[in-house]
Amino acid sequence: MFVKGQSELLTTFMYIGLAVVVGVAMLSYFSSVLAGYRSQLDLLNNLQIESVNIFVSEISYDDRASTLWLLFKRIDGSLSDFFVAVDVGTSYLPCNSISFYNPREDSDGVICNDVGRDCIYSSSIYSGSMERVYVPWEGSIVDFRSYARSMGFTLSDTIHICRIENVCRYTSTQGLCRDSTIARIQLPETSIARIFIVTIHGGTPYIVGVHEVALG
Amino acid sequence: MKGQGNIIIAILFFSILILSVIPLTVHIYYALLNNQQLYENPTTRRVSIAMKEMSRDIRAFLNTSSSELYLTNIGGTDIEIEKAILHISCENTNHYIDTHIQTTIKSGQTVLISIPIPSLCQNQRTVALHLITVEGSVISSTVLTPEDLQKIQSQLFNTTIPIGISSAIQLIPMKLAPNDEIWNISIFRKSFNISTLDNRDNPTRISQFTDLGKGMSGGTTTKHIWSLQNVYTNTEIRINNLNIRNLWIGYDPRNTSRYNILITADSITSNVLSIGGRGVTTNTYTRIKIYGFTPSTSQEILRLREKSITRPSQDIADYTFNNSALVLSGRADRIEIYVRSTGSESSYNPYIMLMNTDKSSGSAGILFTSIDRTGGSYNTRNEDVDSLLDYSTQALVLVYRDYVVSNYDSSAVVIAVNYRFHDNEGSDATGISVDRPIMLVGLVDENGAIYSYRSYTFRELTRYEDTSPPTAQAQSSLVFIPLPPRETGEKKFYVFIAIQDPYHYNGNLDDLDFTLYIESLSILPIS
Repeated sequence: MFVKGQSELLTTFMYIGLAVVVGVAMLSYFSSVLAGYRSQLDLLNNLQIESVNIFVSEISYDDRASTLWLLFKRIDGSLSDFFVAVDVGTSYLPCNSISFYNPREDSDGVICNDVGRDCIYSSSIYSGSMERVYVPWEGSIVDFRSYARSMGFTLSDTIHICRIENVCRYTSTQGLCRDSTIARIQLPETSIARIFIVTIHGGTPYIVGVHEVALG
Repeated sequence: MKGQGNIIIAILFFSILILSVIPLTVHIYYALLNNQQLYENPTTRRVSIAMKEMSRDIRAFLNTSSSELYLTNIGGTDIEIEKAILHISCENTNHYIDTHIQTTIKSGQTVLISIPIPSLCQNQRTVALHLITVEGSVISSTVLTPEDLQKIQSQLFNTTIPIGISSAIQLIPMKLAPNDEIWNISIFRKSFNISTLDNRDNPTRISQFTDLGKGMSGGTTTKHIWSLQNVYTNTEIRINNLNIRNLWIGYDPRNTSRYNILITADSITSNVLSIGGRGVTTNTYTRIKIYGFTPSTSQEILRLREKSITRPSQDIADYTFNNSALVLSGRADRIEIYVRSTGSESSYNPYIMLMNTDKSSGSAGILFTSIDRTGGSYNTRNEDVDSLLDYSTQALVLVYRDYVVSNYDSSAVVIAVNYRFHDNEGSDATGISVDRPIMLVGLVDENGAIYSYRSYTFRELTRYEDTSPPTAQAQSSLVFIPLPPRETGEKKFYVFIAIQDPYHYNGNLDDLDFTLYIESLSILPIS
């Protein structure tokens, strides 16, 4: 049998207990939402920085050799590499179709005439489904297949994301990297080449820029 | 007081609840609200290569003969160039050349840059220049060459009154850069196509010189040629009383503080020649070619017949038929030792040296000599030795490709040639049984057919020289060639010069060898 005073004390403890439980639950939920929000902010920052940081310009298209010469430059002067995927209208190019010029190993002045020395193949960092590559689009992150379908880009079972090394790794530049990287893309017969600029965040590839070159 | 206790507990409870829930609700609300603008779409850019704008900021002109690039910044801002890529077109391929240019061109300024352009194919054309600025933008510009300017002029002539061209186009002296490999006749490809004649006496066509390793031969019943025995580069050389037969000397056109020297000797005995501190000997007839020679003393270049030579003579025959001691000491960029050996054919390399006698930097005249030892006459063997009789198996023809002579531009053309000639035939014209051309100058059409030429035969050339004492007078000649009338349609021609030693031997006749120095070759188009 509880006396009246005991009953009120029990009620008080129940109230306080309930409040503490609700408070702790809210706090942990709040913390987890905050952590998620922060990681979203990190991703957002990274994508925004990379989208404006990488500058791509076309140097020339050699229609005899079906070779597109592009210039890559990082505005922030960092030594980070460039990641690209190239859509040629029917498929995505494998990484051995993309190479870059290393002026340090160039003995005769002719750019990229000595594969393996002054011309280095890009390396593959991802080769697989388009659904595991993401794109920030209309305020959210969507998979690249959905994005490509909406934009009319090529749909393929496999997309290759290739690493073009920053040429500053091969030059003796000290401090900020000022050198531009010259890339050579060997194209099949095509009237269009889309160069997707990719950044890697938490091991996941995200597309931050599209550079479309109409040929011919 | 019991009621107050409950109220306090209730307030406490609701306070904790409100403090937990409200900020979270507010946060979630704003997070969801902002989430709509959280991610920006990928940056997109679409360009068309076909429509790619050529910059109006840079004007580029390439002097193909001197490999000098003129860049004019006609834009309003300074352009800081990180890299410049030349686009060179061959027949079926394109090449991109890293010129290693890093410079700033101020607005309105023209810079002159000497660039080494590798020889990639026979008819390479420089079509475009891609300048990469430090900001990462690419400024592309067409590159005009003298040939392009001529084409533009030609197009203008079709619509306007022809304008007389008063300036001369100089083919020789050849423009050379400091690092040019002047010891190989393939250097002529900088401005010329290296070709040969279909017939050495009455040529009608010019065709490609297929093998530059051939062209000259020598000897009589047994064939003898000059064989390259050794090459030394960037080394010290000492010659101490080497008995030489002949010497030719000129300024090195790549650096006129240095000298190019060609020496012939019967052999090199021990202790008279050391290269890089090591003694060099030969046991047969020898040619020594020294490029970029810097004497160890500024007082003299060398001593010959115990007389100091302090500067090259304009008379290239001055040091021919010496048979006397040579003393020389200094450093050289390159030394080539040729020895006479049995063999059927050699290149023109042992016989040709690029040099000048007027100390003009970067400009090279062409010296050809087949004289190895001494003279002779109609009844004695020239050179005194059968094996040293040289002759051409194929004429060496240089076709200047940087200027097209068109009957739409000009009604006629004058070709001016300045030269010096010296031979070892003491009987001059009576020492030969047949008169043959040694030098030819003329026009060839696009298909290789010779349109017109003037030949310089031995009888003409020997009139103005003295075999002994050796004298090669300065000669000048103008060749006037009228072009077909415009009404016959456009005809395009190229200027060529051919040299050859057409004389082998015929008993003691026709056994002459000679020296020919081409000082200059110019085109004067006439409207």
